Amino acid sequence: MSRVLVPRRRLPTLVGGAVVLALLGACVPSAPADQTTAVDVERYQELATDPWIGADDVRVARYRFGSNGLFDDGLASTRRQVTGERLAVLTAEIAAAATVGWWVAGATCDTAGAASGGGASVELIRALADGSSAVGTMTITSRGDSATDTAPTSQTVSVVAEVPHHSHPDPVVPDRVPVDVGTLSCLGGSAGATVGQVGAFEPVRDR
Amino acid sequence: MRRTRRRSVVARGAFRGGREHRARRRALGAGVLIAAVLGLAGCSQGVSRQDAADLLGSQVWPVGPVTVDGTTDGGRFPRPSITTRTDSDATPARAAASAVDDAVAAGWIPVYARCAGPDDEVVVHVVRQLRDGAVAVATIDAADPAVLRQEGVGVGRPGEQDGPRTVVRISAVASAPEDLDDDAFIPPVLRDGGPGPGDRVDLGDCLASAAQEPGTVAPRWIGTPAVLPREGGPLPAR
Repeated sequence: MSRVLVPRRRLPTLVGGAVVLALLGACVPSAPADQTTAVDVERYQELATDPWIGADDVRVARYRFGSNGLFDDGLASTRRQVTGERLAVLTAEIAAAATVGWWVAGATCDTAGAASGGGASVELIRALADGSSAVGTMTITSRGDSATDTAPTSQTVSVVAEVPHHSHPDPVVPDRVPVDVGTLSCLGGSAGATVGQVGAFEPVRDR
Repeated sequence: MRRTRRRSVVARGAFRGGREHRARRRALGAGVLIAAVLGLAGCSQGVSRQDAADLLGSQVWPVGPVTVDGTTDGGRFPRPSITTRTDSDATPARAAASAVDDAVAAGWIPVYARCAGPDDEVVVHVVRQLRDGAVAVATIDAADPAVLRQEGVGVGRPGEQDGPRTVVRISAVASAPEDLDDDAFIPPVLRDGGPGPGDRVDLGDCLASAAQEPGTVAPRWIGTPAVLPREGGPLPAR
């Protein structure tokens, strides 16, 4: 006869624990069947094949697993190191992005760098084939900010581009007007910490 | 006598029944055999995750341990991958060109490159078909190690000025079985029989100008990116 390994007085605790775990497991909602559709895949491929972004990582829009009905937008991101003064690098990147359809909606200085010398972010828009829009945020920071760096003209350019999940509304795209990022205060200009319009995209919305 | 005849009738019936039984068994056996052959044929066309990992690991380039990390929650799936990192005393452009030469010699096809100035980061995407529809994408990234330090990647010690001029990172990712069922996330260049002659890009202009034009900051690229993240999915609803 086999021995009972668990003392009888602990059985109710173990059974109760197992029931609680099972109930908690049942509480995690499963992903809906239409969490990702052909619309999301098309938008994914538009970001993945964008030569200006040259994404290191790309993610299709999908259900946020474990959430209560939240969906993440599609996303592509990259980071690169470029030599040059900040404004020159930004201007060159904006010109390169324009050749594949990106245009600048606005730009802003980092909170910590509102004065001249800080980092800056540029918000760009690109029309998608299905009529929606991708919104990209390009951020530039000087490697010279770090005590370990010796090349103050070396910049790190980060790009994060997002496309809406098929169940989300399209980004609110501002009127297309010329935006001169060189007038930002953090880049030596006099227009203040923000030029143009930023904030066309909210990353995650309820369904 | 009568008893014997009855026996023989029973025996004949039993013989006839045995013949039918054997025929049925033969038909059943043939059916099972055909099903097994068809099943094996179906299996031979598929590539399991382990097969894909083995195929990636058996490539001449890049050489490194294959990992399959990731979750299957919410329809996501992991793809086999290899990640390597080597030091070089060459500029990023020259170090990338050397890595691309190795890749091309091993049968990979360059489809995209992004360059800028002579000391700037260079990224090249190379692709290849593995077997039975399985494909692989590799990214060659050559950059100043200071960039990696800034990203939190352990290269040297903080403040260390001596060390390699360039670090070359290679990340190769193979398609997963799910990608064979639905190629939604496979780079377009790898669909419909794989890359054609027009998809192979000549990196000479990009890499040469990056190496020879000091002071330029203009980003330039050639070709179309081919990205295959380590984590795939979820596949679209059909």
